[in-house]
Amino acid sequence: MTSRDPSEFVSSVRKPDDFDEYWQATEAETLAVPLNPRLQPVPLRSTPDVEVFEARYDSYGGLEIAGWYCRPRNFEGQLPGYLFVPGYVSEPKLPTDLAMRGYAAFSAAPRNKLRSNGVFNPGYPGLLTHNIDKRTEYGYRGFYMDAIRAFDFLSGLDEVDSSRICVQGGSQGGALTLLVASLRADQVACASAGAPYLCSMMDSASLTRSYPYEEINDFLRLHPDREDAVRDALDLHDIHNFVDRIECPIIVNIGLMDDVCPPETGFAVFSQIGSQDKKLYTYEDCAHDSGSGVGHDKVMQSFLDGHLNPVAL
Amino acid sequence: MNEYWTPRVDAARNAAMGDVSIEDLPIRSNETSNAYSVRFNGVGDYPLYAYLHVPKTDGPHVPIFQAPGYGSVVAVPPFERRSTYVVLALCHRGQRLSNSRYSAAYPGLLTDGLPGEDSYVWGDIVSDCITAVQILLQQPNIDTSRLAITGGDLAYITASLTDGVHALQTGALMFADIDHRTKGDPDYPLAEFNDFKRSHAESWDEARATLANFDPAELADGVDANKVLFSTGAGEKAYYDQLANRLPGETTVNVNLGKGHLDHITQEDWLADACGVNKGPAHYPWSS
Repeated sequence: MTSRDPSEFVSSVRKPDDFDEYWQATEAETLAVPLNPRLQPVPLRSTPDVEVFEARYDSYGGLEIAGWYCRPRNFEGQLPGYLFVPGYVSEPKLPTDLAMRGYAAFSAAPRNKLRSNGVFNPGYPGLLTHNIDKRTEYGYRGFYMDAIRAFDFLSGLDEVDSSRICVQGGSQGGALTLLVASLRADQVACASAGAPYLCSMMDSASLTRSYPYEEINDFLRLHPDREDAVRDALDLHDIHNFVDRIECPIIVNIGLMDDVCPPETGFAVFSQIGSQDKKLYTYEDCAHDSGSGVGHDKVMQSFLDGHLNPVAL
Repeated sequence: MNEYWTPRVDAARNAAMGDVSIEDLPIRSNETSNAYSVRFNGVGDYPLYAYLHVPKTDGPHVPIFQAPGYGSVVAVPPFERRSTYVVLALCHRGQRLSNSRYSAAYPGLLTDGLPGEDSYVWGDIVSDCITAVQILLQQPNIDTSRLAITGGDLAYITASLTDGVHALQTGALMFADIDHRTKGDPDYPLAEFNDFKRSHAESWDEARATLANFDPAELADGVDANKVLFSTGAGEKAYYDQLANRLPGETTVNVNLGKGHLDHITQEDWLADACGVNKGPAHYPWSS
């Protein structure tokens, strides 16, 4: 083990010249697909206090994407919205707890997650390296758009106050939080990103041997000749390159011994965030839990509730 | 072993006598270990998949059965484990890579098939684990006297139904103390039990009787591992202390600090000590 100061790390990510053009085109292609939002009640999971719905919408490439939507059974006026974006391997949570806190809560299941994997299903491990050496066909291109359209789904609901919507998630959810806060910068009211993944991806693969980043090492071990193409595709999709657009109040939390998403990359992406109202929480001796076991969940709840003023049930 | 488990364990052990396919998996092999895809049939001729990792160092190696957790994805075992132990990581029926006939839902799996004993899917899921352990023990160049099992409920239950387990590392058991822990508004997956109660109130007594077969307290008499580690939160320590008192082996109840790095070190150090091996290299901070 070597002495180290992860805050001094300098990312090797570069911003491709066609980055903005590529994502404008990707978003235009996505918006050309009608969202077609659908909600189906799920009585089995609903309670006297919370209504649960299975959500469906259409996204990039015409794929049908699933999600869970929960809201208080009784409310007046409009509700603040809470978009929860999932981690890499975990299934999206059913956000009844957020509805109990007074939110209209949407938990997205982007492509490859169960219920959204009928067409696109590279699996886990697999998603991170799906077409990783083909810059415009990389698997995360559509995946990112699914998260963006999840936000559009939530903000389009009549009962949601579109001026009071937050985004939150950890790990891959942390990455998607930063993405949505970047590409919907004029609409996201506040955000909380934990242990953000998909940041300085090539650097991460050299900093750790844990999955999912180990997928990149696995790929390059078998295909060393593809390294330049891989770096090119990853630069085009690296969250590091989006976040200067973020305008909303935002908090980020990282574990200083995170073997899954090395803290070096968390410091690096935090430094790039455009918002002036930003705060980084670092937790010693924490790994990918990034402080959740020592009180960060309360910090996060207080931050989001403080900006959105939900009325708890 | 009771009337519920005896025929299931027999069937699961018999399933392990069937054909087993083991193929190289170069994409998940590295400088310290080789990876293989293992395919075999569980009870009911159900096709199952597992990862097998074998260190490149000389054996015999300690075998670890890494029991699947509650989720659709089974992770490739951690780097340091693959470097040190022969690790079998099973995808039970319904999880990805073992979902050709049945795909588990989340939420949903925890109550799938309730209330009946025979229809509850977890009986077959436990059988998958028992079959997998037998297949692990068939592998060459392992020290079968130091079999270790790690994971949550499926680790604990499998250890309870398997003879000759040396080390059991477990905790956060979903089936523990259900009546107490489902009061109020628990998070998922425990909330699945309340969803079931609310929608099938008339069947809860029968479901509860079925779930007793998976209750850690009911299964404690079968857990005869030489060494056991329970990792738990402070709020549940009393439960695990009570459980530990019923086990004949050297049992430790460790309260997690809530700091993932330190808690992970505690667990992996315990496993290495229990199995008499040197822990594998740390994979972060990594210096190649």
